[in-house]
Amino acid sequence: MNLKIIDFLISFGAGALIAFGTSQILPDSWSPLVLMVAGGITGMFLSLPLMIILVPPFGAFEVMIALHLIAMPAGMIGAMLIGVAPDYCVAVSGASWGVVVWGIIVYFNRRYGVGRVEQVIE
Amino acid sequence: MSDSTTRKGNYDGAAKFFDILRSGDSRRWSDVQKQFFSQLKGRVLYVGIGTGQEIVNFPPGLDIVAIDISEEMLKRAQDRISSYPGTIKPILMDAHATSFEDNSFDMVLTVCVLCTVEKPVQVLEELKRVLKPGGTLVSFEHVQSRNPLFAWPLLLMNPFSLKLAGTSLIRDTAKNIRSAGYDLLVDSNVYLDIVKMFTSKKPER
Repeated sequence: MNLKIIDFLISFGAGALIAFGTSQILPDSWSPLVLMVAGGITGMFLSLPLMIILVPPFGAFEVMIALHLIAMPAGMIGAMLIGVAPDYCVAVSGASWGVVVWGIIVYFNRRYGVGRVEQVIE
Repeated sequence: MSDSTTRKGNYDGAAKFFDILRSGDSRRWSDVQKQFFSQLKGRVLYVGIGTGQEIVNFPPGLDIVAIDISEEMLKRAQDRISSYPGTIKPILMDAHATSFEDNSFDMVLTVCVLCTVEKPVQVLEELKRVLKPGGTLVSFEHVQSRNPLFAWPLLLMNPFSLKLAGTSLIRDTAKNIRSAGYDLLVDSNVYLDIVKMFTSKKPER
């Protein structure tokens, strides 16, 4: 499969998984502020196994940078939606953040002229 | 313990998993490397051959001397070396202090080496010594991003990367190349402003 499509699927899936996973781990009895902070930390931890699994087949930097940018906010989203929204809404919200990060990376890749071999320094 | 032994780190141990760990990178960078390496010609010094994953991206018919600090890596590169349609002579050697004569190579190639060696400027100066005047240094390397959005994940991961793989994620390789006295001619991006291709010249005098 085209690696550009895989990048999109990784961001989409990682956002959904991290948000959903965080919402299942943290208790709904905590205050929203504590949940937000704990969600960010949990999200970061949940991204680690995903990195270990995804880096070898799909590339170190492409996976690592995306997951770092996705993990904390997706965890926060998942935590803050505990008890407020159904599971599928939590997953879709996390996936949406993943798509935003994918878009940011695509934007900067174009801005940096990725793939243009000739770029002579003046 | 000698300097060379210290620098050797655990690359012999890492050799077993190297192909698996780098399989994604190899797939991603294959096409752009083929294009970038097409400029290789003459007598080439390939620094840090590893398990030889980049050999398939070389143009045919080159005369290459390939060095690496790990014996196990060189052993695992042997099949790829044998199947290359050209000449590759593998040598166990530390890039910080090679045994080649001055001005003996037309081109020097580094692939993800300047992020890994202990003293990158010292290595670059050594490579400049063995390059002929006007010779070309061709480098495919990853560096620290200048964009804060992408720089902080690299900063965060750097201690783990140094410990597990001996690779720094936060080096300024363009600055190191200039510090070593090369003229940096080309600086192209492969992924964001993190994975890069540099082409530099050793001044004629």
